[in-house]
Amino acid sequence: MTVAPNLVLRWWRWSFILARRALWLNLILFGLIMLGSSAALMIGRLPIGPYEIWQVITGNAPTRAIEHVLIDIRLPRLLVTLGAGAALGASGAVFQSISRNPLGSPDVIGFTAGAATGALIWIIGFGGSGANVVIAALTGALLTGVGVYMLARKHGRVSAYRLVLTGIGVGAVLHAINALLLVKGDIDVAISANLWLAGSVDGRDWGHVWPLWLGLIVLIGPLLIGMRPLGLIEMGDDLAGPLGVPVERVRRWMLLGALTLAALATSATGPIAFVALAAPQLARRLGRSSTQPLVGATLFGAGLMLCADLLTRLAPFDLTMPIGQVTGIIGGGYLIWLLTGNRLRKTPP
Amino acid sequence: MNAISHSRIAPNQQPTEVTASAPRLQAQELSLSYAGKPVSSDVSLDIKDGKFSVIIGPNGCGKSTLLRGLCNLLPPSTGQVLLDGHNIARLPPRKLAKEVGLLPQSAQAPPGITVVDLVARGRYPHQGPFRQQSVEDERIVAMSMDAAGVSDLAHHEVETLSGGQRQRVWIALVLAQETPILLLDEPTTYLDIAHQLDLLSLLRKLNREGGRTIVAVLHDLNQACRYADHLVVMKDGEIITEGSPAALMTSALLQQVFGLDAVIINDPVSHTPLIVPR
Repeated sequence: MTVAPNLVLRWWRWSFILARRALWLNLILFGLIMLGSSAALMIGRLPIGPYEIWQVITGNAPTRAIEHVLIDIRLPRLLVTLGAGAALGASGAVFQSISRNPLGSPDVIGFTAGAATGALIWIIGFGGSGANVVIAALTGALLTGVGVYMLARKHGRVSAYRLVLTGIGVGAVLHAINALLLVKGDIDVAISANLWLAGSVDGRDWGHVWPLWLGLIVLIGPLLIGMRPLGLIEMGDDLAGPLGVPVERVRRWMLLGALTLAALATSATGPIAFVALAAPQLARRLGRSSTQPLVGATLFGAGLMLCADLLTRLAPFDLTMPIGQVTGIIGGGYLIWLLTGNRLRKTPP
Repeated sequence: MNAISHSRIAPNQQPTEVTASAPRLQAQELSLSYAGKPVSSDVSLDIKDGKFSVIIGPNGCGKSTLLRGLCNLLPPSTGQVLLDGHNIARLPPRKLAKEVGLLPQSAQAPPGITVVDLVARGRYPHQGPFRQQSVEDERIVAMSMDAAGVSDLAHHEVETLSGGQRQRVWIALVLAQETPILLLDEPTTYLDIAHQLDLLSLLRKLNREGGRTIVAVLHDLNQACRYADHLVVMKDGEIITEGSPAALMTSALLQQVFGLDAVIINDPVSHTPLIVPR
């Protein structure tokens, strides 16, 4: 029998439940992310040592070049990598809870395709580039999300399976539109659009960092509070309603929050496969949690993205692999390994 | 169970119409539709305080729909449900959830959850983002598991339990909600006969000793007659009649409501009506 005792913190009239196993898991993950982040700042064509980083932090950079590489190139890239991973992980946890389905991640139910459509229309149709692509992708994803929600609504409520099926349908249509845009567009523009579609954290600057991190900081608190009622909704609308959960309102706002996070991540990096799908599953299985662990999924998302970025940069062959493909390979491979072996969720009698 | 106290709702507004003898929960000319189709219209029903009421009727007559309407899970198209004279559609969800609880027909336990964690979720209306599990919550969860007879299973995973045990765990969850009024939608479905009677005895005990008002939808007419203080008979979305089982059960009623040709004899054990189909 697996007893996963919770740690209950009490202070004055307040009390908080912390799952002990998940707590350790998260602390270890956080430590690993910190280690990986340091490595990500140090490695590259211009190796920078820990002491030099310290010098830059304290304001006496040894050379202008080191300061420039660290502050203007590596730090924004690192923050975009971590932020996009965290946003996708958190978003995936919420989507999987709402859809009651481990496959109900934002990339499966069409929102990433919607972000791509927005970006492609902007890049190909208007020859846009730079920061405007971010706004176009964000708009595309949000419009798709609202559209899917409205289409999935029936008699004033959105059932989990309708959301997933409608999302897959809308996603398929958008994928077709994306392909059409690429074929119809001017060949040079289409190549730059294709680069965006591969998903990348190359050449990201502070303009990519701010919207993403602002969104994360603002949304993670409300989403964390919303996870409790959402966990009750997972057990059935008929159970959650009489327990005092305003089911449709919770679902709508959580969906909007998760959608915004996924859209922010996609607009900053292009479509990134599998992070939103794998991170919540990894957190849930390794943490043996009976609820969707938002914090764990957020950390796993950031960690997966960081791993993928380090891999692309450390790859022995001189080939810049787009991070979107690498996450697909790592995340997908690990998920298959987990699912086929049923390794981590033993349920002894 | 006696230790679980029931506080009456503290009205912050003047009740619209309450007389000294008015029951706490009343449906007034309630019309309900499900998935766009009207199921029942103009149903008025007083839930008898402190009694064990049972709703019976043929399949699809609107029993479950009425139960869903009584806890605002299904907002009415016309009419209203009053709790202490207040329209429940306008009560804050958590406030209503401290007074009226529902055990639905289908609920899914999250994979891997333990009994104690599942039962603790019944405390939700008493909790908040910064009050996730008080000492009081833990005490009531322990008491509810005790009352439902699942204390020994506290740290077992719900998935590994038998059907009868699982249903008791769900009962413990709605008990932990500590509502003076408890609605149950076909709680005996999927249970074998011994577990059905166990469960009904448990509900009767909660009613008699805990003073809870209980309303259950049941399929088995003999069980309904044996355990109910008050029977509500429904057909085609309307309430045909209501009253004590002894006064109500006649061959004519069974013929009219269920199209069943039966004789009614005295149950030699409980001395309630016993229906024997011809």
